[in-house]
Amino acid sequence: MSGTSRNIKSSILQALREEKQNPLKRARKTLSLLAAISLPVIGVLWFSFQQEFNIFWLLSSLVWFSMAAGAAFFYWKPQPRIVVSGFWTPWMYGKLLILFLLISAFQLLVCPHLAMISPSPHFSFDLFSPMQRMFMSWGGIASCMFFCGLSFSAIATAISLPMMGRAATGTRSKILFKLAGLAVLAQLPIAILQLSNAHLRSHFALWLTGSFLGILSLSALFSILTKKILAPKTRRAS
Amino acid sequence: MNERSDEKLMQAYKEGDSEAFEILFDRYEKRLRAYFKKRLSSKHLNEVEDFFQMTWLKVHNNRKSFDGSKTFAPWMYTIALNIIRDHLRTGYAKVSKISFDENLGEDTANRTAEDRIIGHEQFEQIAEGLSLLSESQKEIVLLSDWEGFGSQEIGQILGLKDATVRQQLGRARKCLQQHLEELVK
Repeated sequence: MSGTSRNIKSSILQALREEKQNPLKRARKTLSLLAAISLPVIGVLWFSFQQEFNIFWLLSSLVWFSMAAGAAFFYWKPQPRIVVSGFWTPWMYGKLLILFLLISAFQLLVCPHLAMISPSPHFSFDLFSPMQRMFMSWGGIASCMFFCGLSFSAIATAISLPMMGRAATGTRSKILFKLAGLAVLAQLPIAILQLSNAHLRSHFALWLTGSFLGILSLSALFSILTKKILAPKTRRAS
Repeated sequence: MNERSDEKLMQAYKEGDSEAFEILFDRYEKRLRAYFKKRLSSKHLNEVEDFFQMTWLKVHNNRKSFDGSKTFAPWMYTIALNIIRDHLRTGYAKVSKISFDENLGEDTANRTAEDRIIGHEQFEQIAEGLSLLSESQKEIVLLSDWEGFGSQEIGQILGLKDATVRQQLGRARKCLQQHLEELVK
């Protein structure tokens, strides 16, 4: 039996075992994952921006937490956990959503200007200030919102897609739109904070468009590159 | 040797029986992989493993929708065929250039070098004849003469009427026969 046969067979057998598993055991695994993702994030954000906390922060945190709960549920749903080129399972979507959620929380930490929040005195990252100044010089806050959305989402995609490995190879446009939608969904907590600010509200659509385009263009590029460059290499190697 | 039919195994697999799945998997592993190898052009041969895995993933995900009153093999081959069509839509018409692969035969071990050369030549002639057929005729011939499906099962896989399958198969065989006769002359 070849390696791939063993892999697919054992992953399906594992899925069948998980289906028979006690629901309580599965719930415990889901809760553990949820705690591992959310406790550090909420802790760090609370430590950094506790003076800023208001009803919108609470709403934003609740949305973030609900999405993290959904991602943890999809991650541990009984299913074959195997990466096959072009085949996306709830496990992979769950993994990707967790990653996008972590990146969106990190984004707020390193660039709180996105939600018109003053940088935290505890975390004074100045990494993205030159970039922001450049965007501002191009066309003020509107340009800054669009290009910040574009840049951050492109960075998030650049980190996440190689992690998805073979599943992202030659991904079709329907899946690419799904991925972009998922990444934009993970930005929803930041969007809530932006909508709560009268000044940012008018430029909010630009930020969202930038985010969507950033993810879509980079993931499309990744998909094409892996299909055109990596696939022939694999063929030659085999 | 397990004597349970595919349908009984599938029924048990639907209910979560992992042993039934293992038997079904082992029963169809070589056959399914060989089908993909025959069905795909050399350009797409590196995708055989992906298609093989994808078929089993889809069988697993859709197992609850399997109708116990129907036969298993055509149901699985429908999934396999849809995967090929779905993923190679743009180049699908150019796919079926059959390539000679000695590993696909089951009785190659005891054959002499001369037998193999003759076999290779015959295979190339048949492959050439197949390339003269339409896509649906070629698919019907492959499913009938390579995979051993009956006309009703082929109709189930391709979504065609039994009579249409038989008619197409008759025409395809006649065309192949003419081609081989011309070669003999």
